[in-house]
Amino acid sequence: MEEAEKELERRSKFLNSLIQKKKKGIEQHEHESFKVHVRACDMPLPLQNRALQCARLHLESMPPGNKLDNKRLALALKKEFDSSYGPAWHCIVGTSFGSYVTHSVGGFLYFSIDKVYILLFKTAVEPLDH
Amino acid sequence: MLEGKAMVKETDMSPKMQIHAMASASQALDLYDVYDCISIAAHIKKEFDSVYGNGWQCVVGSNFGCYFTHSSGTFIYFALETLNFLIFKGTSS
Repeated sequence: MEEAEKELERRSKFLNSLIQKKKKGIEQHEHESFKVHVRACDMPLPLQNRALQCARLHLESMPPGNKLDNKRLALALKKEFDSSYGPAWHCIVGTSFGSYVTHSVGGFLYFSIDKVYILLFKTAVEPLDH
Repeated sequence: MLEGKAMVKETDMSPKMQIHAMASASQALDLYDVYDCISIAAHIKKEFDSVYGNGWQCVVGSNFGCYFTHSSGTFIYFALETLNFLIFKGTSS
């Protein structure tokens, strides 16, 4: 009976530590959720949500404390939109830039996540000369 | 007019067009403050649209990365003073 009590106590401690670890994980996740702000838009809502989700997932997947890789995020967004919605998409990511662009109708989104600004827009594709 | 020396980082433009891009950027910096990146970008894009046809894109800033698709022979990325400039043509209209 004493052995059984010890085993129960050991298991109880183990479960408590598991619960604590999970709580830490949840807290960390909450801490990592970024504030999103759409600043200018000419894009159907489903595409907007797709872009915001893609950007958020990419930022969350980066190790904490790592410096943002602007180019990698821009590449991820452009490739996803090129493959899902047809070429040609262009993406600019950074903390300090201005731009002046011509875009296709319904293909423009300018938003910020935390301190990063992201511009995603579409242009028609120039036909190749044959 | 060219207060600082421009440094081309990457390009597939003809040399003549490169010179035009950097001259246009220098002119824009004479007209606008270095913090007004949007006006600088607008100045350059409008000039290229009028001279080489529509569909040019311009990004100006001190911190940005990007990924884009451009027409052949229409891409330049250079630094001038404290700013970086990206000019490319994404489409023909």
